[in-house]
Formats: sequence, structure tokens, C-alpha cells
Amino acid sequence: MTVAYPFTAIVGQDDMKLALSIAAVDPGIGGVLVFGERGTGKSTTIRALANLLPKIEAVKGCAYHCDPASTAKQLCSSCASSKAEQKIIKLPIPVVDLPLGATEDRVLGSLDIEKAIHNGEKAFQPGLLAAANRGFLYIDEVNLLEDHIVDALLDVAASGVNVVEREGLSVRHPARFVLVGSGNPEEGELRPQLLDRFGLSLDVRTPKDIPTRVEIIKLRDAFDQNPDSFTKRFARKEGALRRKIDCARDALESVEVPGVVLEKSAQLCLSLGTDGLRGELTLIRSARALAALQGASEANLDHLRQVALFVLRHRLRRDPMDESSADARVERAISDAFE
Amino acid sequence: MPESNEQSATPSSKPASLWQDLEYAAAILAVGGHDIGGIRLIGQPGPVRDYWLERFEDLSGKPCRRVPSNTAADRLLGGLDIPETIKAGAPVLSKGVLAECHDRTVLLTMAERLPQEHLGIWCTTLDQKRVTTARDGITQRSDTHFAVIALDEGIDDEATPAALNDRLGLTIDISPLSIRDVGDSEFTSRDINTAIAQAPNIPLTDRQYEAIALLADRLGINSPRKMLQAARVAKFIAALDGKQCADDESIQTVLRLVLLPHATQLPQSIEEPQEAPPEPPEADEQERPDTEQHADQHEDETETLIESSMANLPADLLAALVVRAQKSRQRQTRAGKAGAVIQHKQRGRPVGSRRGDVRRGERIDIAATLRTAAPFQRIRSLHANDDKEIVRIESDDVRVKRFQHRKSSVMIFGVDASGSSAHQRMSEAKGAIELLLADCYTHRTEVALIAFKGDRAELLLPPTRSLVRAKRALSQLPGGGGTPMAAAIESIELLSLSIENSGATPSYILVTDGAANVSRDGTKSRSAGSEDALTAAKSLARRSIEGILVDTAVRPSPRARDLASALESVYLPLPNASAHSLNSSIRVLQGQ
Repeated sequence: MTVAYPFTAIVGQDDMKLALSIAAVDPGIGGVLVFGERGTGKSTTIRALANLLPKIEAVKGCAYHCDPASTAKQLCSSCASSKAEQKIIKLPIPVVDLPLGATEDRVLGSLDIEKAIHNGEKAFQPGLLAAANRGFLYIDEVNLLEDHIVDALLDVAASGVNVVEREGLSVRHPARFVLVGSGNPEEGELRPQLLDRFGLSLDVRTPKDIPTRVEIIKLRDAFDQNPDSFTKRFARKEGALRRKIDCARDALESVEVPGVVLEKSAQLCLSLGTDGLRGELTLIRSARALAALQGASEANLDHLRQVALFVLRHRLRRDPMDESSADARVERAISDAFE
Repeated sequence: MPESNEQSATPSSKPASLWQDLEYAAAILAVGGHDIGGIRLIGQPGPVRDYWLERFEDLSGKPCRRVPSNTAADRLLGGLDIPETIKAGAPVLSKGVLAECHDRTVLLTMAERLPQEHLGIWCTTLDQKRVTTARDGITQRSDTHFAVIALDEGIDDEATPAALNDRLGLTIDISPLSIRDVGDSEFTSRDINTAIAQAPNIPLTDRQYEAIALLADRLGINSPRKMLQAARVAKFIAALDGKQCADDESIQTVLRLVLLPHATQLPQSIEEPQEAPPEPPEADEQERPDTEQHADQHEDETETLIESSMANLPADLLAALVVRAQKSRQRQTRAGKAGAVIQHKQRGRPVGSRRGDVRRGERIDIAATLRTAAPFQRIRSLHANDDKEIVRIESDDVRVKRFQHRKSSVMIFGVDASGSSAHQRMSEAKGAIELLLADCYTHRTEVALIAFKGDRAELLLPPTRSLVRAKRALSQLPGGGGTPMAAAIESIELLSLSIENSGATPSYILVTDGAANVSRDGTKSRSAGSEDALTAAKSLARRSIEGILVDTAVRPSPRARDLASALESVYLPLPNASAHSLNSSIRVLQGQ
């Protein structure tokens, strides 16, 4: 097993780290899209996140790691029927990689060939979406994903339920996951529908100043030379951040969002003409998650201001020609709103 | 290795040192190819390349694994092993090529033809040193740690994709070498073994790390990956030379092998101080005085190293750099085209499978067939007369792969960037084109951009789906000069033909004021210009390619109208062509 590069050892890229931490605190925000040049550490950072996630309680033996605390409606069929005799275990939050070249049957799940051949039994073999339930689904090079896989993903990501109707199977199971994608815009565009599924989006660049660059090479070089001792060096920092995220997850519900923040988010969305309520909702949730992360009991305008760009930059009225200036537009709106 | 003076006249006259670099490259790859991704070897097949590959195999002691760049995704990643699965009665996954290459060196042949859809697979595998297969109902992960020798035989407009180049540490162009230049071997396999043992212990000083970062910055290299590779190669070189630590000479070799081939700009002259670290944060301002002296001295040392490295570069190489940088930028855009076209030329995307007959030449989907047959195995073996342990498949079970071939369309924008047009309505025209581009985007149409001015038409953007690039190309559109209408129409025709050959449907939008005043042979003449333009237009019309002519003249002129009728295209004068009517015309075009 290869050791992942520690999250806290990543130099710079504060925006990306912040956005990912927010998504880790409140999965309901709806995922993070990271676009950027080659070699900016997009995948490294995202993969590093897995180490920082706290454990969750899940029904033992359930292929979808159902939450024992949830209502019968949200459980998979087997957990719902056996509610009484469930055993509960603690699991790390799943982080599932959707590799390029994955086939549809593996993503959605399909007939279990082994059981079928041996027992003549029609059994469902859960796919990657099942494995990602309650966790993260990471798609590297998300803009290169084949169209039919994107189609399959879009529906599930919106509904949180995976319905499989194939090979004589008829299965539905919960598939609520945080979509995390990364890619290089030079290599291809992202389908606008898929773009909509992401709660936060950001654009990362290579740090330009020499000392930062030197730091990046030195740390990475040290890591590759001896991953284990390098990871140990950062173990304490990692632990601290993990606890911070864990606490924030617990505190999330108790964080208040005062009226002035609600008003300001509505005003921001209005001034930018973003459609629907999704932008506002995500703004509020992100501000709250950030407040929780910083240990505040109440979200304030500063929190809102920090998250506004991530939340809004991909939500402007679809004018694809304005892509490059979207950031500028959002920034202008933000500074206007916070005058 | 500083070369002697008489040898540094032109790049082709110093093959001896080039061979030395190649020797180093082979040795570096043998020592730590896995850690630097590999090498991109530019040049045609021939004795030099063969000899070098032989040298490398001698040094590394292991034969390379040859993988053609068109190896299909299911072979790269692996999938259900049908014979084994049937034998075992349980799914057995076969290892893909990538997993089989663990601990070996991959010889990626014709790397310039690497299909876009496989590029991601290769890059992810190189990055993660692991391949994840999720196909045919099974997921499997295997560690695979390999170096790639990408044989780039690209001529003119072809090159290995930029994303792959970024991952390959070394780059060498062997084309100036002939077999007579092949020199003696410098390293033995024993040297390699010693170097493998030594390399991890070799330190790089802070100054050297900084020098690498600064050199990369001077050469306009942005990717931290390249700098990291440079740092590693420096260690390998020092280890190969039997040194205890990397020195300036190692850095210079690194510069040639790793950084220079990726330069996108001429290094700034050392004289004019280029702000080294662009303004440190203001917070540091107060503490700076104490450390300044030290920092300055430190910087001076780095500067000397860089200066000496740069000075050791042959002058002609620096000059050639500009050309190379521009070329490579062109190459990049064209590489994008190769990928996009292949994606549509292929049989289409697989869209599941359906019941079918193999005899009709369709491709059998074995996994799906097995899956269909699987539930009936019990019953069938009960009814069978023998008791063989086999999987019983009946003709009803057979599933064939279905491919959907969505014929894509490409919209060619011919934009008049001549003086007359530029003065009049350039910004409006650009605005209109942007609207059209946006529409193409929602329709998933590819776009290409041809601009014409002066004496020729230029393909600014080959067919692409990347709107970012289209927009960039458009905003960088230069203006001024005559209107070479004939040349413009001809290039639209040529591009249309190549698009048709690749299986897509071309259509075009010509944005001009119709004032042709440059003839086919490049002379300025209004009458000859319009005559040639009409001839070219008729030729394009014969291809029956749909098109629109958008007249940007302030007053719609008969010239543009005549041209449109010669083209047999829709004529839209811009004053009337509101965004809405432009969009609906384009829709009509695409509907056909």
C-alpha cells in the first residue's frame, strides 16, 4: 500500500485546503471541483484528505455502510428490514477513487457473476457508488470521464439513490456521496450539468515565488525518499487537523447563522443573478462549516466572505465565454456587497 | 561537460557531447527511471535509437517491455480473463499491461499517437504508481512502478501530449546524431549498481534546490513536477560520477536534460536583475534588515551558479530556444486536435450491449454474455446429458457490444482580421463570434478558428472543444493588413476536407466585410482579389458544406452579398444579425 502525502505538508494552496476541509465538515455542501494547471498538487491534496476524515458509525456487514441512526427510508433494503438485530461498527469514511476507464457495470454495480455461476442465484454486486455511500467519490481528470459514465453519475449525485435496472436485476440503494473532481481545463471542458453538481469550485495555480517552489520540491523529495519517516514528521499536525475537523462536524448543528448573514448571501446571489436557491443555500452552509471549523459559535460575515468565491464562481448565469472573468465578476460583487 | 570551442557552432556539429548526454540519460534511467517518470526520446527510428536502447537494456540488465501507444484500454487496465474465469468458475481478472510492467521499463512506441482517452490512464498510473481497474464487474488494484521511454517520432505537427511530457523527467532529441557519432560507453552495469546504492544518500544543498527553482523560473517552466525531476536527476548524476554530493556540473547536465527542453522563454539576461522572488510578503519587511546581508550573499552564490550554467549553454542553443518554444506551443495545440479527432473516428463510445449474433461481424461482449448465461448454469447442467464442468452458453445468451457513433460537427470560424475589417467592426464581430461560440458550446460542437489578414490565412485554433482556448485565440487575434479572401476560403475548404475525413461534419461561419483586396499570389489588387475570392468560393460551394457569411461592413455591401451567393451560403449582414438571429441560423446549420 502506498503511503499518501500528508495534507498538512502541502505547501501553499490554502484555498484548496480550505475548500476541502469545509467539504469534510459538511458533506451536504455538495462536493469540490478543483481545476488547475499541471503539477499544482490537485490530486495529491485530495488524496491526502482521506487521512483526515473521522470515523463514522455504520451497520455491520452492510455493503453501503448505512447509518444506523437514519430513518428507515434512507436505509438500504436489507438494513431497513433487519433494523432490530443490527450490529454497529466504526468505519473510516470511505474515499473511493473512480479510475479512468472504469466501466459502467463497475460504477453502478451489476450481477455478481460468481454467485450466478455457482449457485444460479441472481445477486447484486455493489459498485463504486455503493462503496462511496456516506463518503467521498474522487474523480481525477473528471473532464476526461467518458460521457456515459457522466450520465450515470449525474442522476445519482442529484438524487442520492442508485437505481440499477440491468441484467434482470432491480436494485435501489442509497448512494449519497461528496463528489470531488479535479482536472486540467486545457485538456477538455466539463459538462455544464456535472459542473452544477459541485458545491464549491476553485482554480489552482502554481505558486510563482521561488522560496515556495523550493519548499515544494524539498518536501516532496524528502517524502519520496522515505515516505514513512516523512509522514511521521507530520503525524502531529495531521492529528491536530483531524481533531479539528472532527470537532467541527460535531459542532456543526449548533452553529448559529444570524439574519445578517442570510441577508447578505441573498443579496450576493441576487446581484450576480445566480439561478435558484442552491447558491444561497450552499453559501450559508459553507459559511457555517467554516465557522465550525474555526470553533466559532456563530457564522459571521467574514466567514461568508471567505467562502463566497468558491461557492459562486461556477454558478453565474451560463455564459461560457465569460469563464475567465467569472472570478472577477464574483470578486466585484463580493467587494460591493461587503462595502 | 563543457564542450570544446570549435564544436559549439551549430547544434548539429556537436553530436559528440549529445551522445555523452545520451549516455548519461541511459545511465540515469537505469539508476532511477522509476522516480523520474522516464524519458522522451525525439527522433526517427534508426540505428542510433536502436543502439541507445540496447545500451540502456545492457545497463539496466532488464529488457524493456514494448507497448504500442494504441493499446486498447481493456488491455492497459486488464479485465475479465475469460478462459481462466470459465475454468475456475469464478471471476478471474487478468493483469493489464500497466500492471505487468511493474518494476520494468515501458517502451511506449509512437508516443505521439497516444490517444487522448488513454492519456489520462497513463498519467494517473505514473503519478500514483498504482493502477486501479474497475471493469467487467471486478475492481482490482495493483502497484506498478515503471519508467517510460516514450519514442516520439512526431514530424512537424505531432508530438507526445503535453500531459505525458510533464511526467517524463528527461527529454532528448536524437535527430542530429548519426551512427558515426555514437561514442564509447562511459558507464558499466557496476557503475549503475553503485549509483543505485549511493543516490539516496546524496544531499542537495539549499542553494542547489534554489538554483533549480530559479532556472525553471527563468526558462518559464511552471510545473513543480519538472523541478522535482531536476532535483532527483541531479542526485543520480552525482551518484553516477561517484561524487559525494551534487555539484555545479551536475546541475548543468540537469539543465540540458531536464529543464531546457521544456523552456518556454529565453532566459532573461543575468545583467538586468529580474526580481528573484517577487516581493516577499509585507509582513517580513521589519525583520528583513537582519537577514538581508546573509540572504544577499546567499543569493549571490545562487546567481553565480545560474550564471555559469547559462554561460555553458552554447549560444546557438539559446537562440534556437525561442523557435522551439514557439513551435512547442503550436505543437501543443495541434496535439489536442489529434486526440479530439481520434475520439470521433473510433467506433464510437460503447453504450452497453444487446442480444445479437456474432456472425454479423459485430463484436461479442464476453463479460455480458457470461453474465446473461450465468443464472441458468444450474438448470442447464441438470438438463445436460454429460456432467462436464463447463459453462453452458446458448445462442440466446450471446451479447454483442453496441457502439454509438455520434457524428460530431465542427464549426469553422473564418475571421477577417484585415485592416478594413478591424477598423470597422472588429470588436462587434468578436462579440458576435463569442455568442456563436457559446452556442457551439451548448451544442457540444467543436470549433476551429481561421484568421486571415495580410497575405495569408492562418489556422489559429484547430478543431477543439475547449472553449477556454477558443476564447484565448480569439482575444489574441491580431488585426491589420489586406484581406486575402481567396486564401481564407481555401483554408476553410482544406480544413473542411480534413474534418470530413476524420468522420465529422464541418460547417463554417465566415466573418468579413467582403472587401477582398489580396489575390491568390499575395499581390495587392482589388479586382484580382475579388476574382480569386469568387473562384475559391465556387470551389468551396461545390463541396456542399453548409456555411454562413456574416457581413461586418457598416453598410451591407454588394461585394459580401456576391461572395455569399458564390459560396451558396446564408448571408447575414451584421446590423441585422442580432444575437438571436445569428443563433437561430447556426441552429439551422447544425440541424442539417
